[in-house]
Amino acid sequence: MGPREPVEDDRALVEAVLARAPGAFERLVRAYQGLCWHIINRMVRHPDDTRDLCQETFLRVYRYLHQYRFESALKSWIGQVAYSVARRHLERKRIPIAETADPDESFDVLDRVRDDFDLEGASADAELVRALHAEIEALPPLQRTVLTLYHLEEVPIAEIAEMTGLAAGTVKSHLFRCRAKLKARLEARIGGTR
Amino acid sequence: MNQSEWEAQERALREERQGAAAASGDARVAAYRLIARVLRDPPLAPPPEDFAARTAARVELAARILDDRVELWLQRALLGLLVLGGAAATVVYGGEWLRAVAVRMAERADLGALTGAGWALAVAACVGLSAAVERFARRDA
Repeated sequence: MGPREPVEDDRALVEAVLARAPGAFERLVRAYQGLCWHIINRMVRHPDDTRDLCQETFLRVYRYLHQYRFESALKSWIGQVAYSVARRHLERKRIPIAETADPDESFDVLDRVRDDFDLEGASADAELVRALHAEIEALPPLQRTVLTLYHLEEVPIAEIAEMTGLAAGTVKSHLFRCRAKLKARLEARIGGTR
Repeated sequence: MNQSEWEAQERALREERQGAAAASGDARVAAYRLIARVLRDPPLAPPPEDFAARTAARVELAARILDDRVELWLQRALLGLLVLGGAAATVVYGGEWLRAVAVRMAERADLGALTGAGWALAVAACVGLSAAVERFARRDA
């Protein structure tokens, strides 16, 4: 999905949907399906559930769009709906959403940085990339989603906080810890293969 | 939170978004750039091609069905309220109404007799007219 739509476009789109203009709701779905798909897929990781929950998200968007007051970006509002639909799905299945931070967790491995990291060589290493994807998949749903929103959808921390209902500091902390953990695993893997 | 580590993470993200040349000279940033690159290219299947059209059609149909159901439910609720209100008013005021009707009928008993004579004349005229029309019809046949 591309960069955020201007607010004026959001307003026109919302007004068209509320006026039941032909094709308006399909345009809205087309504009935000990528965002919803990524949030829900990152949360539930099941293709069929992702499709069904995305449809449920847009049904809710359609029903409650008259309550949207343009106080936040439409993207944030729809992202919030998608996140809450996915979160309720996981809660019903009793799947934990987030991993609580371990206060004793240390990142001393962060200081053990190799001075010869070959970025292009590493990114061409299919096995290494696959392993990194597996590490990301192994993160808890909330952390996976926060990373995806920040890196793939380029959503700012404040908007991620709005979508997830977390404090901006908590979002930042999740980002920091997840990336540090991924780097530690990467370093361990590279160290282990050399 | 380790501030310099956070800055390295953010710098890697910026460089990766800008597509900066890989040789930044900082191995820590380079490691984070690999993570940022992997995060920007997840093995996620995109939504199906027709997802938007199908979803919009389905949602609009579901909303219409719901609207119809709500409308039907509201109609029934209003009719129920009307019946209940009518019944309650009859129970509360019915006695008064019956008394008022009886009093009026007693007061207008004379006028009622006059009106009755008028109705009898009208009925007789109708019967006479019908009989005349029938006789004309038979003669033509």
